[in-house]
Amino acid sequence: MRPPVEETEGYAQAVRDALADVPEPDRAELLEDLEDHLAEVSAESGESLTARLGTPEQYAAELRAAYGADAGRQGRRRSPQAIAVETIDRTEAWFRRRAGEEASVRAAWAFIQELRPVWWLLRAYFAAVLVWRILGDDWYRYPQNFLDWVVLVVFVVGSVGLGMWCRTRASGARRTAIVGNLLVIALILAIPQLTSDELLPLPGNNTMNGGGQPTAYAPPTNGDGSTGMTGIVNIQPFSKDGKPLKDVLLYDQDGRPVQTDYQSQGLELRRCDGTPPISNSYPLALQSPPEEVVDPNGNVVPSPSPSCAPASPSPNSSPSGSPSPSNSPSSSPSKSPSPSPTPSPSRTP
Amino acid sequence: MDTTQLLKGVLDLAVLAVLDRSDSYGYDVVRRLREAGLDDVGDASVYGTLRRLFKAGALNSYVVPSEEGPHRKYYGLNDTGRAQLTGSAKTWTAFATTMTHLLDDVDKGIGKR
Repeated sequence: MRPPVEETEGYAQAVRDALADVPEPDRAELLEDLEDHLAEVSAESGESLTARLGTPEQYAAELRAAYGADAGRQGRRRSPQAIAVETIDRTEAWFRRRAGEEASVRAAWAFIQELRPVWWLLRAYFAAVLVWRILGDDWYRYPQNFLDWVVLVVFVVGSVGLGMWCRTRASGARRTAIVGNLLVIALILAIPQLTSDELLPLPGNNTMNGGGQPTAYAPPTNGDGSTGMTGIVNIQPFSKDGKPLKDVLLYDQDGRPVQTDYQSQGLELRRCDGTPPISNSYPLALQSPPEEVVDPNGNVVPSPSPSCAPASPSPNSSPSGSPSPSNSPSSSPSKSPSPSPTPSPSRTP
Repeated sequence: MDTTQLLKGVLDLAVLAVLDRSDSYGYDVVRRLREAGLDDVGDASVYGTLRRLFKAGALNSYVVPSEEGPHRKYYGLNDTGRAQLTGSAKTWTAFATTMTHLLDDVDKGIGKR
């Protein structure tokens, strides 16, 4: 029986069309002797190609499936989600492989895995910081009110629960956890950027915070709004020929008195004659607050005062903040000082 | 049970076994598989399997001109293919033995009926 040529050609064309999405070298390979095959089949059996082989689409699907998954997969357009999932899986597998190669890396990885609960708490905290920012309009390190506490507790419980849940889950949940953790890490890295303006010790910021709760990254402030010098308790000025100077008034660039950190050390300024001491007259006369000395007779006497903070006249309150040194060199203050030792500097941004 | 499902797992092995007896071309492989009893084997499946095995390096191929019909692309096993056949055959034999043992009682049941 003569093979119906038109039928063979039509069938072959339909198969070709159905495999149009297969990349070229594979496609040519697959279709190489398609026509010969079809001719042979129809020459032998006499029944129609469709009756013998199924529809051209079925034939194409069978060919594609038998040839291997990659011919079909490369051809089919994949969704961005599928690509993302595959990328995550591949990256994770790569890290796991690399981690498995080196003994030290393996040990470190095992150690890091032990620290998982710490990470659960950390990510909960940082997520809470973000929500506090939304609720409270400022960056806070600690909960400010009951609502903040509720947020923190909810996040901690949720984060720990999620962590324990993911440990027992298959790849889908793990993938979500990886992405979520990366997001939190990005957030943690971003917080300093978001608050970068507060990283600068701008003079205005301290007064804006208004003595409320300390905000994240704000420099330490003293009660009067002047800038504190962390770690420095006292300053001993010397002249250039090595003589110790007394009663040197120090001001910062904004004309505010320079304050040392003596309060954090539990020290206080010694008062003389009941007058308020000048807190930026260096060296400061410092003492421990409750110090009382009991003499051998059992009488309580005040500890001997090494020197007094001089009650020098009020410093020149010009905004340039450079007091003339001749103003207060005298070690024996006779004049009563002005009661306001801190000139209010004119703030210019 | 649908034999096409079973065939999917062992079609490679079946094709390798056919080619181990003698080199062959696509349609001839289909015919020989059918003659051996695998009636359900699909033409396109065999063609696709041949292409894949060739691409994987298990087969060599050569074209044989023919006077009447079309030129035919013959396939034959190379060393890789023979090694694959040996390995797969062992796996299959062990698997088939296990299944046979598993189904021993069932066979008796069928015999009694």
